[in-house]
Amino acid sequence: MQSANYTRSADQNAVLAVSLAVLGISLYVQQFIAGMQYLTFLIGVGLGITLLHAAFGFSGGWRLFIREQDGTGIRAQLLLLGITSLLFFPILGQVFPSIQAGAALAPVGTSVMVGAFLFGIGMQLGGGCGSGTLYTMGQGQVDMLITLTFFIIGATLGTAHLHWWLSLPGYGNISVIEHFGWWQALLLQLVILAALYGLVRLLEIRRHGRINPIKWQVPQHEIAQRFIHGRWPLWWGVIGLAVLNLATLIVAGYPWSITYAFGLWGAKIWAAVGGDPGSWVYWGSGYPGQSLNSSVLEDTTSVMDFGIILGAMLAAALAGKFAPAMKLTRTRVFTAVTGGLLLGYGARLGFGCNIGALVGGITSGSLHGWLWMVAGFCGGIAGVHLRVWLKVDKPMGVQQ
Amino acid sequence: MKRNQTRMIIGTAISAAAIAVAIDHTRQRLPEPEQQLASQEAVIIIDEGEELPDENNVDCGKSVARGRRSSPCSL
Repeated sequence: MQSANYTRSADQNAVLAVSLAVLGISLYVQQFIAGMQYLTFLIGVGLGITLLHAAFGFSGGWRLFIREQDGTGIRAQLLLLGITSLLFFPILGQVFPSIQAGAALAPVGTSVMVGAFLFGIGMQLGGGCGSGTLYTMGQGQVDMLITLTFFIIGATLGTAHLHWWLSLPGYGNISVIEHFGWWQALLLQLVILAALYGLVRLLEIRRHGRINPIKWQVPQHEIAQRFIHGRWPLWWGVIGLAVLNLATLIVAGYPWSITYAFGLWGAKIWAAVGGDPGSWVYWGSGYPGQSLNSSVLEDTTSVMDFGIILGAMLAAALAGKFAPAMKLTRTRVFTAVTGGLLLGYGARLGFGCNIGALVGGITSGSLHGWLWMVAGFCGGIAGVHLRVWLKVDKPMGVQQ
Repeated sequence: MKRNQTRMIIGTAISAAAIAVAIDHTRQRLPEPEQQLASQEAVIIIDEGEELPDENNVDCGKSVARGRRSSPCSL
């Protein structure tokens, strides 16, 4: 009976169309693009399904904690950081020399601090982070299409200005794995993450007298149906994202990242309408220059992002939640536009978003990830207050 | 906004994006077979004791040293 309900609620036409698109793109990329690009596309599809079925987001989790000290989402994020660090550190510490992978290292400096702060505000106004924007847009939320459009514009502007931001004070790349050794750094990182987990738990208990458990169990007879049609317990999301991030590290050679592609798409569009992004410092040389002059299908981050959007579409269609009806107010359009611009510009200055800089940076031992986390959370606090000021949310202290 | 309208908007956006990707993909000049072959045969020989390329100047840590494609890591 339950099974029949799930199947009936699925949007079968959309499931068929998206499945065919996934199959077609995989085969094309496998045939015509060198390397293991088709695998990174399929990993992206898996990430999109996981994000949507587990409703794993960063913006909502931060907002709930800032407004109501409900730390369920933040505790899940800390678990994700801990588990992914456990998987990444030995590999990056060369314990398995056959696996060749690089860390998401970036300079610790003003650029990251300002970028992450802007990104934190943008997360709250835009209604999603890097991963959240992609998967909710894949779900068919029209407001997130506006956020994504301005995310791309912001990221492109960021690439135009990054060289100036990098001239401001900073320390360069700092790897805790190189500094302390992989297992010492891992131990230190796990202790810090456990302390943060404890602090969040304490604040939650102090406010509510109890904590919301992070669920992992579902009734035995529902496991298969829930796996296909959702909704997944949060723990499934944590494990899924950690394992797929590990797969990215092994296949692509570096941790999962999202927002580099947005700047690339913006620069390509700018070039298509007659602009010359190749003359900008950022796009003038190195990997950016190379990717600007190659097919977008050669860029791993772009291909993974396409996979995430299609994966989220597939999951939403399976759950019967694709393209929900919605009310698009003027305020929502304004927050989507400003939020998107801040997200894009902030992500470029911050050397990534909540995925590339926060998760990728911290779990691969780059100190910029920790700076990003602190500055991004401060931006999140400002963003939550801005939402109240714009009357998007009720005043602080009043339950939503 | 009704469900049919959102489906139409999202469908149009995805179709436009797919067309843009197809145009971009076909506009980029693919390497000629001979060039491709030549680049595949190119080998960087680093003598023992010789310094490896400066890792700070490559895109993602060990990408050059290990012979992988360069990557957008940390960009």
